[in-house]
This record gives sequence, C-alpha cells and structure tokens, in this order.
Amino acid sequence: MKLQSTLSNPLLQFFVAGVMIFGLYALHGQSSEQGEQDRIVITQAEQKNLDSLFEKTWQRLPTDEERRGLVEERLQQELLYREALALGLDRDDVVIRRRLAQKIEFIVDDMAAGRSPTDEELTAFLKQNHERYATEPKVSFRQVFLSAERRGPALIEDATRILTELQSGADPLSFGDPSVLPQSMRASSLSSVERVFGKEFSTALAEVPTGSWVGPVHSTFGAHLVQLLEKQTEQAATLETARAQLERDWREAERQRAKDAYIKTLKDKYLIAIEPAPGAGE
Amino acid sequence: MRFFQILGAIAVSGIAATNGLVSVLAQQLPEGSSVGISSSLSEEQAERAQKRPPVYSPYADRSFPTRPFFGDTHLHTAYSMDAGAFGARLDPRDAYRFASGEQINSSTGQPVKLSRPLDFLVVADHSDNMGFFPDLFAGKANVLADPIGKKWYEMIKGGKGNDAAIEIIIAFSQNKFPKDLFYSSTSLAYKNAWQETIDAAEEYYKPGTFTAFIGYEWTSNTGGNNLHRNVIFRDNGDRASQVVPFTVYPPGSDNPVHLWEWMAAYEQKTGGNVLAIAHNGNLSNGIMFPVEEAFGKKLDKEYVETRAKWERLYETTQTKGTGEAHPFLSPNDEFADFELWDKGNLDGSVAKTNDMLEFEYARSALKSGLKLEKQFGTNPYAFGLIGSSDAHTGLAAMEEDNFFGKTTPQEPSPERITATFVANQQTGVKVMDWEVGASGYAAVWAEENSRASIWDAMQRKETYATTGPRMMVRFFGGWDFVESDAGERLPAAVGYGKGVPMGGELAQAPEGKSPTFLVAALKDPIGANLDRYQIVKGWMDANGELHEKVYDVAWGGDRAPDANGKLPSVGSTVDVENASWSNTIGAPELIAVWKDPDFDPAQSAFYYGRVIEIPTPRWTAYDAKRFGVKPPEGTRMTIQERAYTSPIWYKPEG
Repeated sequence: MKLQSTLSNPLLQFFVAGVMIFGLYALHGQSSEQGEQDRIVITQAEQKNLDSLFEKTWQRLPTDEERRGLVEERLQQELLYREALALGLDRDDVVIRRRLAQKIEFIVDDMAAGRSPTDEELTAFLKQNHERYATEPKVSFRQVFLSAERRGPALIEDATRILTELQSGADPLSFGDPSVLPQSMRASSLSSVERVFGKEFSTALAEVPTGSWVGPVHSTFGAHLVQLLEKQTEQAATLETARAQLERDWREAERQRAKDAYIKTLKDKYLIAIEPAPGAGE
Repeated sequence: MRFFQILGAIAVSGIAATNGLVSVLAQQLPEGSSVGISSSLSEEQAERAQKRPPVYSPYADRSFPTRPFFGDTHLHTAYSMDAGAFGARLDPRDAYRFASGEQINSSTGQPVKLSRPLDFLVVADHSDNMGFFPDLFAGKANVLADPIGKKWYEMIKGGKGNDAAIEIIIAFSQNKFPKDLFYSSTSLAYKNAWQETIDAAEEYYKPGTFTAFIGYEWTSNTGGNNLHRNVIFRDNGDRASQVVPFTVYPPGSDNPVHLWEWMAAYEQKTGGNVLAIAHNGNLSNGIMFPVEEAFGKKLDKEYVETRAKWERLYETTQTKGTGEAHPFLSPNDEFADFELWDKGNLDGSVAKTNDMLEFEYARSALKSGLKLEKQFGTNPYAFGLIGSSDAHTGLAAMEEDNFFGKTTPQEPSPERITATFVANQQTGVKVMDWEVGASGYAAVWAEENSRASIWDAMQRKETYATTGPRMMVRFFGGWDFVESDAGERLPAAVGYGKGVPMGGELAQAPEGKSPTFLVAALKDPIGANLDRYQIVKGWMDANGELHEKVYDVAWGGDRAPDANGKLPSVGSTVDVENASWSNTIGAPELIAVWKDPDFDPAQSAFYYGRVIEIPTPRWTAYDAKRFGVKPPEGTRMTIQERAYTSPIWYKPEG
C-alpha cells in the first residue's frame, strides 16, 4: 500500500470539484426562470450535517432551539456568501484565488497519477533522460593548495612557479599552504568533490586531462594545482537497475505534462491580453 | 606506534580491526591488487607496511578520516503520529531520496532540493504508536470504532489536521491517549510499520555514496518534560528486524534506565550494536542531566556507568533551540545567547525557572560530569556533540535560504513568519514559528561513508555539531603541539600524529606540561567566512567547584583583543532587506595552536571547540524578502552560524 495514494483522497477531491462545477453552473447557467438563482434552500441533508457537526463537538444532539440557531447561522452565512460572490469579493482575494486554483490543480494531478507506465514508456523515458540515471564519473586526484588569503597578489605567480617544478617531477607534498582540505581524493564522484572543494573546482576538474600536473584551478578557498590520476567514465543505467526511480520520475513528468496540457487548453479557451510592463517603453 | 593507536581508535569493533588495516594497505598498492590480501596478511607484513614512510603514495593522507560526512540523525516522516497529523505526507523512502540529493515535492506540494546531498540520514520516527497515523488517516475500522479516533479522523478530513495534531500530542504527553486506540509494540500494525522503516533504509543504503541508517526515537515525555532519545543501529535489517523499537507506553517505560536495558538486550540477542542520542534538554525542565537522583532513585555507580556506555553523543542544536550554553549559566560568554528555547517544557505546560537550566544545557552537563566522575569513578556526561534537525516533514532541509520548517504547516508560505507554534494559555508559554531554527546537521569524521564506519566514529565521538552550514572543523589535543604545527601543510597529519582528535582523552600529564591544542576550521565552500575559533574549557577545582572559560584562539581579519582580552566584534555585512551578505570580513580558514594558560594537572577538565561564522541572513530574512512580508516585532533576522566540536577530556591520575 502506498501511503500517499491513500492520502491524496481522489474521491473527496472529485466530490469537491463536482460541487464546485455544479455550483458555478447553477450560478451562471441558463437558469430556467428569473429569480431561480436568488433561491436559497437549506435542505434536510444539510440540516442533518449541521446536527452531526454539533454532536461531534458537544457529544449530544442539539435542542430544538439550538437547531434553529444553527440553521439561522447557516442561512446567514449563505446570504453573506452569495452577496459577496455577487459583488465579486472573491475575485480580489489572494487566499480564495490561491485555494481555488489549488483545488483544480489537485484534480488534474490526481487524474495524471493514476496510470502505471508500460516498459516501453519507461525505456523511452530512460533514453530521453539517460544522463540523469547514469552513475556519476569517478575521479582520483591529488592537489596542492595555495591560499588566496596567505599569498595575496603573488598567488598566480607562485602557482605558475610551483606548477613548473611539479611538472618536472618535484614532490607535491613539499609544496602548498596549510589547510584542512584533503591533499587527495580517491575514486570519488564529482559531486562529492564538489561538496569538499566547491563547484568551481569540481567543474574545472572534470575537464582536466589525466596524468600531468595542471593549474591553477580556482576555488572559493584559493588556487589549486591538480593532478588527475584516474577518471572512470560514467555508467549508463538500464531499465532493470533504475526501474523504481524511473517509475517515480515518469509519473512526475506525466503529472507535469498533464498540467501543462491543461494550462494550454485553458490558454486557448480564453482571450488573453498582457499589457506592456508598467514603465516599459513610452 | 602512533599509527597503531590511530588504527586502534578507528577500529572500535573487532570487524574493523582487520578491515581498517587492509584498506590502509590497499591504498598504498596499485589498483586491483587488494583482493585477497586479508587472508594472507601476516603480522610481520603488516608491521613492515605500516613502517613504510607515507611519502610515495598519493593517498598517504587517507589513513585517517580526511573529510567529514554530514548528515541528520533525527528526521521524522509521516510514520510519526504527530508529523502525520501535522500534515506530513512523505514517508521514509521520500526522506532518504531527498537527503541523498533528489528533488522531490514536499507535503505541501512544493518542489524542493538540497544545495548538496547529505552523506547520511537516520529516519527516526517516534516508536510509540508507530504506524498509527497512516491508519488514522486511512480511516481504518479499528480507529473509527473509538469515539476519539473518529473525532481526530473527522478533524483531519475537515482540514483541521493542525488542531488534531496538537490534541494528539497533548493527549500523549499528558498520559491521556485513548487506550483502545494505542498501537502497542506487540501489535501487527506496529511491526509492519517498523519493517517498512527498515526496508526503506535497506533500499536507499548505498555504501560509499549514501548511508541510510536504521533508527527510531524513544519519546519519554511524562508531564511534557522532554527526555527523548534517538536510537541508531550500526546493523543492517537482518538484525534490526529481530526486535521492535522500545516504547514509552506498556510494555515500554518512560525511564531511560529501561531504554538502556532494551539496548543491552538487543545487543545480546542479535550481536549487533546500538547507541542513543538524547536531545532538547532545554525542554526537559531540569531533568535531562540529573546530578542527584533520577526517577526517584539516587544516582549510583550503575547509573553513571550505564549512561556513559549507551549515550555517547548529545544533540546540541536543532529546530527547537540550541542547547550548548545559556546566558544565565554563562554570563561572561557573549555568544551564549543563541537560538534559545527557554520558556517552558515541550508542550509549554510548565514554565521555565532559572534553577532548571543547570540540568538542561550541554556545557553545564559536561561540568557536572566531572563532579559525578569524582564521586562514582565514571563520567556519565562525557558525551560528544552533534546537531540534527528533528524536522517532522521528511525533509532534512536546514539551510537558511532553503528552510522547509520543523512541521508541515511551517513549510515555506507567506504566513509562517507570523504564525504561532506553541501557546499554552494557563502558563502563558508562547513560542512563535519564527523562533524555530534552521538547524542543524551532524558532522562525523569517518574513514568511509558506510553504516559501520560512521557509526564507529559516533561511538568514539569524533563528531561535531553544526547549525546548518558545512564547515570543516578539526580539533586535536596533545602535550606537544607547538606554534609551527599550525604552519604544517596538513594539520590533520600532525594532529593525529601528536595527539588525539575530538572525543578523545588526555591522561598522564608529563611533568611541567600543559595541554596544547591544534585547531583548524575551513568555511563551507558555498557559505560564509569564519569570525573566530574559540576553545571552551570547563574544570573542577580542588574544592569540587566547577568553572568555565571561553578563549578566543584564532580569528579572521585585522583585530586584536583589547586590554581585557576581549576580541572586537567581526562586524556585519548583512543587508537584511535584500537577504544578502558578502565575504569581505572574517577568514575562509583558521588554523592555530593554543596552550592552556591556566592548567593545573590536579584538576579534571574538558575542552571543546566552537567555530563562529560571520553574520548572515537568518531564514526569516529570506522569507521577508521572498514573500514580501513584514516580520513581527522582535523577529531575529540575522544569525552567526556555528559549529561545536566534541570535547577532549583531561583526567588527572588517581
């Protein structure tokens, strides 16, 4: 049992949608006679509902007087609600707009999430997004760190000088500034390199040739001379190795696609005009 | 022989003793040649290999942990009854996916992703009533049969999940949870929930890349006083599934002594290993770190020994406040007033009084521990420090600019900055949502990213707490560190070579020598510069009086302590309105050697590191900017994030 599917309560959402659509229809539809939309009926079912709500709070049924009060309260709410709608007060209310838009979104989401993908669909999805599922390339490297803070403007000059020495075989452990940064990492994914050295460094490292000392490669900490010792290429995923994740992502993509499609039909349905941004171009 | 000491420290368990050695050797051999070595390795060969100078190998520095692993040891999902009631929809699998770097949708439907993956995660759902909530939500027959179960169900369905959650928590903490509704640890539903939790961890455990630990939270909360502990398994599902988590309700207990008995029984039954991490002493109203009696029983030798054995770490910072130090207890510590929650106990049913504080905060507990050690021969409060989130959202999202709250209603929205978290009308205890902290994470110096390696590092306390950023922090203690060690290229090599790392112990003071410390900290690669590195010392004098002092050891920028030894403030570059700052003050890296100027070899002491960042925008500033909302009067908008290392203890002889 998938927790989420139970929780998203599609029935409830459909019910809400039904009431909403019905309500809209009743308001704007071709009402049979003038005045129909001005009618308010507090049905027996509704009164029963009021009773049971009361009972839940007070652990007993309301007295007749209390029941009259509940109905009156309900009626007053309905009157005010109708009047507010008629005056268009719902239209400039951010909370109501957001809530209603959300409700429709839930319904669209739910309709999209219902179906299970076929193997063909998953294979096609994998093919389209193969980079996302491949195991990351792993690198082994060592580095000599030159602190920007310690060396100041001499940083680049120092780096060039030390690089020449390293390239002619000098021992890397006899160069560099004190730091808690590791002097080497072994068989580490680029994302784990990024977590230690930052993105600027890991991005540059991905482009470095294997074998010789190169640099300087920059990071938020300073400059680094690096020697890439080994680079294992990424490994493509298969339907078997990535099925669970593929299925999840396929559903998510499907949900997004359904939503986009729905938005598109709505855009076609309305005549949309967006005025030029205020102050843009006289 | 130093080298073997390091290995010895690493190899807390028997298994690691061989593996640790082999992996060190393997690093010095060409790729592919390590297979089969373990069986043919003789002591002689090992000895010879260890003596080889480490200069040749490019991986020589890997014989000790070279980078910390960051994670969260305390995350709740919808499986926790309160989290579920608050609206959490994410389950343990979602939680592991998110922590390992995937983008997912939060319970409120917002796409969310971490700036960088975490290295490990413990899903620690509340053990009591585990599995109750999914059934409550699904409206299962047994739940609806109970009038209160039905009421809660209707509340949740009616969009009143928030009120339901609060009722559930209050009922639980005031011992009024309906008996018929309770999922005892012997019920099938409870076992299923535990098995699901285990299966999720097994599925997402990727040694070398991401460690999914099996764990749970034991939630002792009698009278609303927080004595919670997280229990973390070193083991895989085959062992963890032989037991069900210990609960507070029968057949469990609210007394930590009984949790320790459960832990011992687990280890005996399965041959596995577990450790416990307590948290939120600040909400215990004076009972987290007792010094005289606990649960009506005088502390004794057995209590202190058992506690020291099982409670290796303490969660010092999290969303519900930071509990390192309190200004009332440490009036001379200008940084003690930090993200405090000191108004009452967990549910606000009893307000706080100053006399409780001493038994709630980490620093004072570390001090009391020295006294208890003198009395009973063992220090029950010789714990290491970590931080974690305690988020109830399934999301370990604790970055100030990417904070997804403590509970689902606190996920990003224009309203959260003005909402109320706890309000108790009787006691007047009121905590606003803005007081919730975007904190923290646990940093662990382990050799590799695996359950065994990270757990072992926790067990030996080679850990530190951070309030969110991932700064790299080293802390070594020894007798022989000298000024020039701070100028060595690889401080860690010197640190391990001449001393012990955080969590360690110094004994046998050489004649005329004082403890020396090699400290180093590097800023988070995407974070703020560092303001300063401080060492906090606590000690007990000859009369049994306890003392503490905070020393500034290293700092960024052109500053010098004044005549009273006070280092001027680093200043601030924060632009609150734009939620921005710049790294033009402070320093990216701090390294120094410090010698205790007031050492007395007859007095027991502890030392720990505190690293403080320059001021940055607090999550409230990002909210105010992004949602264009006005924070309530008094809302803190900036923060100096920090890290706390596990202490190093000095123990006089005799």
